[in-house]
Amino acid sequence: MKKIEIITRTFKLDEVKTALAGIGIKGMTVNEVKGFGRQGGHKEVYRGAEYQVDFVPKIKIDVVVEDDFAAQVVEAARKAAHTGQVGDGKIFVSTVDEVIRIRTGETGEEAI
Amino acid sequence: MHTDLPPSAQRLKTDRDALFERARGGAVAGFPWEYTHLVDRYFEERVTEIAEHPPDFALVAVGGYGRGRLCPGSDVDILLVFARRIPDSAESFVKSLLFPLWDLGLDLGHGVRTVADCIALAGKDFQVLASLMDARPLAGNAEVFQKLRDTFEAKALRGHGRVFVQSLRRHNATRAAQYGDASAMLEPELKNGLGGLRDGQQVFWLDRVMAAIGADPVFLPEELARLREDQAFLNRVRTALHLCAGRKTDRLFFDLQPPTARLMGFAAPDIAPEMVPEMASDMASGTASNIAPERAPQSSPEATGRAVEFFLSRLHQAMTRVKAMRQAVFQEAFPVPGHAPRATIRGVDMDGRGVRLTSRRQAAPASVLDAFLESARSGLPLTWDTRRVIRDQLPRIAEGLTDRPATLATLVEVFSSPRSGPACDGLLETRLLPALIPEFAKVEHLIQFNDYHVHPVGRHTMATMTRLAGFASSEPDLPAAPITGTDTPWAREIAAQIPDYSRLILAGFFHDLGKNEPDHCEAGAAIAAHVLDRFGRDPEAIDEVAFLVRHHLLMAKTATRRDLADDGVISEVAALVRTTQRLDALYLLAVADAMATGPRAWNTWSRSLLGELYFKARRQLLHGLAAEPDARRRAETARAAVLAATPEAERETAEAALRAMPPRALLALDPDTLAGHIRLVRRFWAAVAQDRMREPSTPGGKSTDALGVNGEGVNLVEAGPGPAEGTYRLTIAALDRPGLFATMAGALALHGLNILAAELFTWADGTAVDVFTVAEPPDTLFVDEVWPRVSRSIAHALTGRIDLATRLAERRNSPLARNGSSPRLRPLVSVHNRDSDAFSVIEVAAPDRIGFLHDMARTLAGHGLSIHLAKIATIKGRAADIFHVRDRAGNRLTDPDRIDALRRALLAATDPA
Repeated sequence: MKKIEIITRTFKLDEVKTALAGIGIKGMTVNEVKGFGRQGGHKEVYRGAEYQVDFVPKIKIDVVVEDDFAAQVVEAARKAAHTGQVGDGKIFVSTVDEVIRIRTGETGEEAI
Repeated sequence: MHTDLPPSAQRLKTDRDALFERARGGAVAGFPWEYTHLVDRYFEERVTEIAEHPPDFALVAVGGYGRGRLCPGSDVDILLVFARRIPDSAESFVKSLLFPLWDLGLDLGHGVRTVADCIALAGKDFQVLASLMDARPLAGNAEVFQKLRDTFEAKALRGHGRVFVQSLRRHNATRAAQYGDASAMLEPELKNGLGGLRDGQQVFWLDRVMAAIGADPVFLPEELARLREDQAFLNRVRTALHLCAGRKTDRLFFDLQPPTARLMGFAAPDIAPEMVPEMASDMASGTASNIAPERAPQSSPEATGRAVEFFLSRLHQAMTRVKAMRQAVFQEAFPVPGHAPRATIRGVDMDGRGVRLTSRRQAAPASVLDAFLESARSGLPLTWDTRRVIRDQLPRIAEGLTDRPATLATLVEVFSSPRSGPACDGLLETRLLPALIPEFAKVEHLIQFNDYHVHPVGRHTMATMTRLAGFASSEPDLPAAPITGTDTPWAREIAAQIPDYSRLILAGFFHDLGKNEPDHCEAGAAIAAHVLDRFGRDPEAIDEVAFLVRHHLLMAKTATRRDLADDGVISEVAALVRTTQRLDALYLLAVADAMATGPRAWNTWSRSLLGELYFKARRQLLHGLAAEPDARRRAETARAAVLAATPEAERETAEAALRAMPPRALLALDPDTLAGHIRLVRRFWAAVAQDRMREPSTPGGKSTDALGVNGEGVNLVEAGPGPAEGTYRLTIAALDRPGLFATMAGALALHGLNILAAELFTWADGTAVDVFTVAEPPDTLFVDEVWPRVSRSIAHALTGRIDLATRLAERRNSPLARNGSSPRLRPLVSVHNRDSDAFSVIEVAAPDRIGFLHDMARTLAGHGLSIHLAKIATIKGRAADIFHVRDRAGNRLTDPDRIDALRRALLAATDPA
């Protein structure tokens, strides 16, 4: 199983969610997060003084899927989140050892 | 873990598992109904299990479940409908009803509403209205359901019907943009693509709306019955696809096509057709495409390929019919208001709904053709009832038209019209064109994976002619044939010079009709000559069209495979073509052909290659070979120009540099570029000297410098705009050594750079100056950061600090690399010595992958060959790489044993596993 963490623009949440639902993703966890990437945030002007906004608000979507589905999920998420401008975000893929559904006790891919 | 499942769910689980098992074994035909039945039974039993008193609700199946068409991955959508008020107990009831299904892993959608809620929602959201179209009672109170049905009919259909139709029309525009025309795609979307299941559903929905508002139906009952069959077929494909993918997916990806075809019963062709129900029904209805499969072992890729081709062609035909009916019902029952052009030909009427024959009882063959002409001029389709007349009386109409010069003239006029799209669709869909020209029918549905074309031949032919018509049209950019973007700006100018454009249109028509034969160009020319003779064309015109068909690949093949800096290559083309008119025609044909093939065949890069060849050949045809300076004189001129532009003080070193350059540099590069190379090489040697000084190559000396020891890692990368939009030219200088090109190609691949072409200039002083044309790097915003990273990777690879082969393999094996999504074809390697006087030309075609060029170049270097020119084309996942090579002594590769050894080594290297 793979965990896919999608960090995207806040206004892209709906598009990414729809795209993932469209390929058969059944559940996801969404967080409001802050951070910065290669641009180091962006500059804003307050009362004539320029100051650095270090942390830009983003949305992080976590989904866990079967191994052979990961590529398709990443592709769909990337397509939906893409604008081509700086700040489109990142997608991280990592391996998940085990999943348990609390209500039933099911484990493994059954529990995703 | 399902110990607490209620008996109803337990039973559903057991029966569902058995049903899936049978379906995976090949029984997909009855699946949707059987699965629906199992879920229906669950709801009936479950309601009895949990309902305490006589139900005051209706449990209703909606959407695909309501239609009784559940595929393995379909959502099960239900509604719990109450007459007036939703009681508090509804929530816990729904939980008891649905939780067991959740636990079984079904995808559920549900709503709890009153009848009034349903109707109000349907008025606001066309998707809700659509889902209620297929409402079907499952359990509960029959009166409540009846009330829902009556109110829906009276209020939603009659009240909102027209708004619903407009919403669907807008929705279809979105579908076209998002999913494309599935009826002509190699990876069609079965549900939402145009021609997909959604189209067929819309026909039935609109039929109901029309009945509710009292409009005349467009289709006959038997036509709707045929549509039901096509829909059932599409649903079976979707079922098989879900089973093969193991999840809900509606796009028929390449890698899923062979298993899906196999599950559908489309097996290797040496199984008799009568054993395969799907194939047999095809044969019986006479719609089978005429693919004559050769006998091949069942498991061979070729046999599988043919079974998949047959399956796809059957699928495309069904989708084409479905799409035609959906378009017709919108066009005729709900025409877009606007001004309707008036018919200009006698015997033909026209209004906003389309073009129709004035007299439909005994349609005069000539009038039928006129109707298509009117359709092509106006861009409006023939009305469905006119098309029905043509279909019903096809033999008589075709007989009255066939082999007559006037017929051919009108057809050419139809094809030449810039708005010919609907007319062409109609000519195919009524089967009139295939009846008139059986040679077309033979290849119409043929799909060839082993070629550049991504559409079936019939569609590709029509698209090619539409492009040609667009070039000659004075109207700017019609939506049917937009030729902006990657258009060639001079195509219109050239088209205006062509004396008889009908010949070019005919060449477009015939160019691929020989596709069934091994040499399709020659076969196509023969077909063209035969058909044109039958239709009474004069011999001179026939010769001309046959010539264009025979050589329709000349321009594209020469431009992408051969060295355009070689005068011999240009002379060869000029000698074959002989006149500028023919060159013009072949050029336009090549452009239209590539554009109709798709964005991978027609892009800024292929446009620039084709343009270069066209203008070079044209210059030679206009001014003659003798007027062109020969190679030696041209080299001399270039040398003089470089020296003239060099400051006095540097002239001596420049002269030495020019002597050190390989002779081809002076022919292939312009003086500015040559001067640039000289400056680059000077800087390069300075860097090498510095490197050697800083980092003496003492034994055991610890090298911490990124450039390595003894200058062996030193390289300079210069980047600039490439010859075509969206390309870059990288000039890289390094110390020459065997395998250098492979290293550079590998390093570029590591940074996601797609190499389009490479020219390698090895100087006598041991410098290699390699010029790469690459497509845009993945990061177009920070392009300048890419080149230093490339340079660093090259240095690291040259000094052994990174192992390119391993790094490339890591990339290739990433879980995110979608392997096997392109058709698997056998790799091909060929070695020619006739394409160039100076080099052997090696062509490798194989499935593309990360690091492919690196592995090919490494293999060539391993066989003692140095590459001087490489041209790389990647079409739909297939790499076609051309290498101009010589051995170290500067000779071509002629020894058959060595050629054979090289060929085997290259073939082995195409597959890294």
